[in-house]
Amino acid sequence: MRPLIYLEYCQLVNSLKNTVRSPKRLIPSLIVGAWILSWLIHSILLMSTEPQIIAPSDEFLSYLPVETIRLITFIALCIGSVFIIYSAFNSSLLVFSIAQIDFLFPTPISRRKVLLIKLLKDYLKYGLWVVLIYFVVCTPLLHGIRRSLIPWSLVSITSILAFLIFIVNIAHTINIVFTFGYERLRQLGILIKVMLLGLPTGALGYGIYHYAITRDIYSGILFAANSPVADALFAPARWCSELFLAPIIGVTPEEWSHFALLWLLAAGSLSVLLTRKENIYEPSLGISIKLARRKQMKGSQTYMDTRIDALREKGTTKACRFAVPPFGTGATALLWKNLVLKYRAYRGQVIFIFLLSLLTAYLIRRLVPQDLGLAKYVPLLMIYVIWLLSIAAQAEIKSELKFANIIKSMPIAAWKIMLVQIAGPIIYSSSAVFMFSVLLWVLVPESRGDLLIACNLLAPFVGFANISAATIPGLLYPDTKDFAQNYISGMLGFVFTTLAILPTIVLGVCFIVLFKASIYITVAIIGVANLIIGLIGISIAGAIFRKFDPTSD
Amino acid sequence: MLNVTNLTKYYKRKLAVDSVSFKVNDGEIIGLLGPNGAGKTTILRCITGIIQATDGNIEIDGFNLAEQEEEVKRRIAFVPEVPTPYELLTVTEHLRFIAMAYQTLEHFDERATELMRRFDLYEKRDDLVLSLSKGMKQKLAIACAFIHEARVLLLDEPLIGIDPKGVHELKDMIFTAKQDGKSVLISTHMLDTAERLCDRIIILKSGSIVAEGTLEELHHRAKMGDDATLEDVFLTLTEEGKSVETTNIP
Repeated sequence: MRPLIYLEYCQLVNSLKNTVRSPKRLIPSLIVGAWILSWLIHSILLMSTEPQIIAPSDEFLSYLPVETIRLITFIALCIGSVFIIYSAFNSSLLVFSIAQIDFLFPTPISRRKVLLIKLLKDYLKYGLWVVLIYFVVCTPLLHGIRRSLIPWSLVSITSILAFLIFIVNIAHTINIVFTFGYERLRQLGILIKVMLLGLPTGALGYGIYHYAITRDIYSGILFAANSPVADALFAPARWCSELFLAPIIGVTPEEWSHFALLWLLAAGSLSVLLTRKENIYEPSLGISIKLARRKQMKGSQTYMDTRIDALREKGTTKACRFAVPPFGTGATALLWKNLVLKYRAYRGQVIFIFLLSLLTAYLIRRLVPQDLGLAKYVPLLMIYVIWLLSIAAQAEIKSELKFANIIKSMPIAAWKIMLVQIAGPIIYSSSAVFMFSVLLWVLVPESRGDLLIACNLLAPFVGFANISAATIPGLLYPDTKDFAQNYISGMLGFVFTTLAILPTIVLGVCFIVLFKASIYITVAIIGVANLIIGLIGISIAGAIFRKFDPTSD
Repeated sequence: MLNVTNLTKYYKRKLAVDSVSFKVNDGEIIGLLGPNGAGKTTILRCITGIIQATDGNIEIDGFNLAEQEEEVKRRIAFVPEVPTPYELLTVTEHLRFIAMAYQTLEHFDERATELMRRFDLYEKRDDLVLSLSKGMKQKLAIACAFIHEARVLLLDEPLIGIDPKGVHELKDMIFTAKQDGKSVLISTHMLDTAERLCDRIIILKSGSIVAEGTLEELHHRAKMGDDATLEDVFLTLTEEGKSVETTNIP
């Protein structure tokens, strides 16, 4: 144990020293620390200055939806535990660092000791998170209903912790067992997975049946949660959800026995895990390498990188068939490259974006009152979407700067490079707007009209002005790994895009509302204004890119 | 002495190492060669106990890995392919931790100082590992391997990324280890180094051994003359080696 304690001690001390030495790390840590501390002090003050009520009062409780709170907690715990256990068949929660794999695993320190230290550290982490979330979320609520935090909150917190430890231990055990007995235990694994999904579905069916009879969704959920299947399968979750209410309704002797049982399950599952003979290191090997790669890219991982990771995990080896065919030379070829890369990375998301748009259009149809005539102004929402997307495009353009050493060496003018870099986001955001417009046209008849057409015509121009404006701070503060640079470029991006969208709003209001001009003349004027803003933005971005040093941080 | 018998490793249904057997005698240096994905790193990871062999037997000095894992590990030193040491330890702390893990703290200061001086780490002894370059991290990994008295040295691409002085020092230490009667197993793609350094060569392809022996024996196996280089032999043998298809565990 001594080497492991020495290792943890040295890492902790050096980590603190390392944080204190660098303002870049110290400032965010101080901000987060101060925030947490203020919550803790706030909670302590709440406990000490206000009158405390420990004994539950029937009159008071009659106003509180205690059963609903218990039900929500129970359902959340059930869904969480099914998710954790189900995912344990495919991936490991027991993640060791590459340093541990390379330098700790080959040493003669017993696996059980390594595992024990790792688990204790994890439990401590879970405990701190539970305490933090409890203090942040529950303290003000409990104070609001004049309940005491001490001692019943401790029961609440420790029962959640015990439940979490139990579920995580079960997940670790499943992961270790099924990693090694893959073929032999495949049938059993499938059976457990079917049970994990099938039994809760049975309970859900029970609830749906009652909903069909009573037409009351709450009683349907209540029946599902109290069904015999849910009772048997999720008994620990039920005990935990009852104990969670300890600060409100206290603890009965039966609940104390459930509390003891929860801790017994946590301890029992730990001992089962510690006595497994399989090599605990192997399940974490693949996932550790993946996490190390992500850590290496810490802060610099864009959505594109995440998609590439997802494709790699899926085992995608072939490019998709329907991509933009190669076209152009020089800057145009760069544009083709950008379009193809974006298409390959995001094509899986197209259905999701389509469904989201469909849902939004459907909600607009259902929720926007017909009689007020508001639906015809809905297309204006798309200008707002373009503005939002332009802020997001900054991150994509920053991630492209990783390849600046390749692109800068090409015989293409800097402003042209910048133009094609932003052309991709413009084309895709305009396409998204067009898709949404078609859905609006179909589902919300009131939205059909000149405004819808005008917004579609304006989308690429507004996108051009806004994305070029968002690009400038991205080029000024390009380091994606630096928290401060990311923060500043994001903040400036917000300011610049707000300035870029302002002429569109002002001109739109002036020409349509004040001068009563034709909508298409207004579109032409706003389009020209955005074109000018975009060209100014591109010139500035090109000038900055010309001086951009890809070798420097 | 390292004795590997019928080592087989499946990753789920993918066969990575197919019934590989070899022996590394005391005072012998063996080179493990093979194209990418041949199973070299998997074999080394199985021997170190990082991953568990699906089948087969690994013994060091008569101790069996499956039954006496800690005794086996006590006799092993391992340099990983891409070392990622603990970034929040200083160089000295890292070496001390490894020495503590192997319970060899006697004369630690002298040994650590000597190793740090040999690999130009002495000036950086109080620096955090995260501030080291890739090459320096590799040197630290090598120093960690030599901080304790191992009987078997397992080196996975140890020469990549280190400067000529570091390479010279490492070769010198490998020869010293050989003279001290230790067994050395090196996985490498540097064929000229393997040719000069190793007593015997094992050539792997798709998880199987396609040839094993001294350079002369490999010349004979590849039906080539004595003037053929290891590179010629390697290319000839790996081209004709049998390929192993993905199969199911019976």
